[in-house]
Amino acid sequence: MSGEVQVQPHPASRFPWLLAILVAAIFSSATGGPWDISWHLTIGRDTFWTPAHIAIYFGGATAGLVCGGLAIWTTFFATDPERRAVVNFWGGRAPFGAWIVIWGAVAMLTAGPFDDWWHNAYGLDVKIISPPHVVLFLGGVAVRFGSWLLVLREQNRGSAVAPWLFCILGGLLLEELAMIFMVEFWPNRQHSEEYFFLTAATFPFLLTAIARASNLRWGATLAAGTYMVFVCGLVWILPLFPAVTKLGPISHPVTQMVPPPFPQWLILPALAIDLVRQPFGVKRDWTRDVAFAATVSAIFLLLFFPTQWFFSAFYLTPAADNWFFAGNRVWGYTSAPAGTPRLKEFWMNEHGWALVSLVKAGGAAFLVALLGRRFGHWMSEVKR
Amino acid sequence: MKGTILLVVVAFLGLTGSARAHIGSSTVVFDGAAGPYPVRVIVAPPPVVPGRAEITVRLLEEKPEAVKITVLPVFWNAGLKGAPAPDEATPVAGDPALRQAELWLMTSGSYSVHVAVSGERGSGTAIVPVISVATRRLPMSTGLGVLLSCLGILLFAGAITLVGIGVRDSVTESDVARTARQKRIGRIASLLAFLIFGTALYAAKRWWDDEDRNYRNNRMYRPLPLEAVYRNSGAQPMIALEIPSQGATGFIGKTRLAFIPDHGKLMHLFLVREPELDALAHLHPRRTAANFFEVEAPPLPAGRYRLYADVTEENGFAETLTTTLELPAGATAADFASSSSRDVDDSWFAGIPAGNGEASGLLHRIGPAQIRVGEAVGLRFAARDEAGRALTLEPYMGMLGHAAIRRTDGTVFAHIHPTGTISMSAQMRFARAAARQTGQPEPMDHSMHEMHLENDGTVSFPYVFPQAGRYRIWVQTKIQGKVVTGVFDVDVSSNK
Repeated sequence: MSGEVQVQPHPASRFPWLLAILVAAIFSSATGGPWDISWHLTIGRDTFWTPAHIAIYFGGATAGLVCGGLAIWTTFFATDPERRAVVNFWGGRAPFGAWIVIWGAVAMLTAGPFDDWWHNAYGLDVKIISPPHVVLFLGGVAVRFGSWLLVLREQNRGSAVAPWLFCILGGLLLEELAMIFMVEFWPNRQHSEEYFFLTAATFPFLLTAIARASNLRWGATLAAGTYMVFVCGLVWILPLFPAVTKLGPISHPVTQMVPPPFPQWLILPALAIDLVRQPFGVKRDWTRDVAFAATVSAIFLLLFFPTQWFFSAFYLTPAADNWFFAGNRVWGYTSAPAGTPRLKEFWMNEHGWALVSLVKAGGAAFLVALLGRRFGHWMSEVKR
Repeated sequence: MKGTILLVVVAFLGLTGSARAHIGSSTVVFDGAAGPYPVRVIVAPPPVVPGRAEITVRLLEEKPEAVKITVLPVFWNAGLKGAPAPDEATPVAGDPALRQAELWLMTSGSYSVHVAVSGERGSGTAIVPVISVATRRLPMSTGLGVLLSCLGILLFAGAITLVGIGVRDSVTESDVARTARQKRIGRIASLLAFLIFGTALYAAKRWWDDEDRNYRNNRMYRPLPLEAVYRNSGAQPMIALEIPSQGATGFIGKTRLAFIPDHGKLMHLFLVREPELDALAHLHPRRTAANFFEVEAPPLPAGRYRLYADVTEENGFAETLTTTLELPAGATAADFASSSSRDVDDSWFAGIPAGNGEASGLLHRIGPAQIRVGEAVGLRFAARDEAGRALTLEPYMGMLGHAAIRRTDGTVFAHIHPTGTISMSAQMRFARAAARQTGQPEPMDHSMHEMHLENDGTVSFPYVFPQAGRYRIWVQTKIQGKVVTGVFDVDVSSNK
């Protein structure tokens, strides 16, 4: 239950700075991912030790070492009450979230030699999604998710700062989701059926889970706000750095690091979710959960989709072509030349809009929000 | 030092036994000039695409001055427009005349590498054609496979355990507080996790297999197939060649049969008698239809011959096609040598190296004494008469000499010139395209001009041997209007 006041002795409580290091590590990885994508869109070629890669691996390694250290300390040096206050995994004892972080770090380390062999066997990267990269992503998601659960545990045990960290890390999970689907969420695709279906099938899960598990009144809003501020930071800071493209052929010359597109307006549905959720309470009740999920689906259909529809239309006009929005400045060196009409048009409109598209997206949002709410119930009970 | 640079790459390139331009010999060697600077350029292409090639540029002068050298790979249909800034080649420690760099070859096909040299004497660019193809499927080493499998099992088991702990333990105050219901839910969750993760793992394995199959079937290089038959129906026996059409749509493009002539010939065909390697023919078949070539059969001893056909496509992609052919005895017309229907540049030779290994008829091998794998060498030959006086070499198809190099077991075959291993027609094609793009006058094509080049009776062929072992080298040149062939054996030692 959230808001519990009984405080059990817990190893992480002995080392409160652990959480701070974990959050810093997650920020490092969260920065490295989109930075690396920008690198590939601008400079084109990289080796293993680019700053972006180091940021990613540093985040994963630090989180893994911190949680590994915590596990070793708790297993061998903690007091009995402290050991009972955490879970048992294959004989070792540590908070549940710490084991997930360790799993994630091992996965990221496994991905290293696997990816190196893959490049020697099948060629250097031209795709984001290859089997070794998937192992890396799973590891990265696990590191973030495990850190999130560690923070959640502190929140559920009464920490004052943990609730804020919980929402901020939740926002970084939203950011990772948006980054993985960067191609599918591209501005020019935001009038297609696929875009609305995919956003409906992903974001409501996290937003409802955060809304349910957070102790804060505006938890989901804070998470969505974190996502938007973080991505805006990338949009504004990356283009300040000049860069030289090192691979040809260059069909779209660039001279600064290419930023990601402006973030999606998740803060609006998040705000709406936070506004309406209180009457639904916090009990595990299927009727209430179904009703809540239906409400979230309606919020996405009535609020998020129209917002993105009109914002993306604005985004493709010259009015958005400035440093703040970075409209038309998100094209990598392999894109069509500047001024090509295609760059300012909506794509995949042949899969365009019919009532059935709304039904599909609304249905997906409903199911996913229901899952998210149930997941949020579980998260709010995490004690160890 | 350069041997070390090249050896690692060349050593396992040699293991591919792949067919490309030449057979089993993918290192590109070019001796030529970049403006006022004579250079030797060596490119070791990667065995996968996209991949990185190692390039070294050696200034071939007594006292190399301070120059700046840059390299830039240009894909055949991209040209200079849209090319990134060139990379500077950096000096190699301990060898002031040598520079090295990396080339990023991101797609399959034919590239031209622009090597630009600039210094006090001026500047110039040498254009070196390089083929970028995937030739090797790398197996996973046992050690790495065991490591990844162990980690994979660990991760899989760990994930299932974590699901159980998450459902059952993390939401309770302590272990003893678990209820029977929670334990049951934990077991169900673990079972579900096993099924779901197991399915995901199986799907991932299928995905990997698909990628591997796609690589082997679609992305790895396969040369055009070639078939040869001997036809004795008319007055003059012929060798007929066919490139079967189902093999003709290669993965590189639809126009793999759009050949361009090299020194006036669409195809240079070598026949080597196996296994004795005691007869060689160098012929130039004529194209009679899109997939068909034919050439008069020269007077060669009967036996089984290995055929090597060098062609260059319009986009600059050069390859060597190979097949075998049985030739019967008496396989030519009596008046073949003086027949007017045959190509006068066709030549043939029967013989083996002389006992002392240094002289073969009028040709003598004068260097180098020692040849090691992976090292760039200049194979030098001199023409001398019986009294030991130097004889003037005359151009044979525009070049002072041609050399055919074959490892005795057939895993390596290369047809090279004093300029190196490159296809001259590919180089000419790229030079013309570059001139058009930069608005400069197009270079003249000298290939058809029989220029009388002053020479001291020696000719040198730069080459990098890809494997240790014994090789037979046939050298052809023209002396006093007649094609002269010499045959030599060399032993290439490993670099230990």
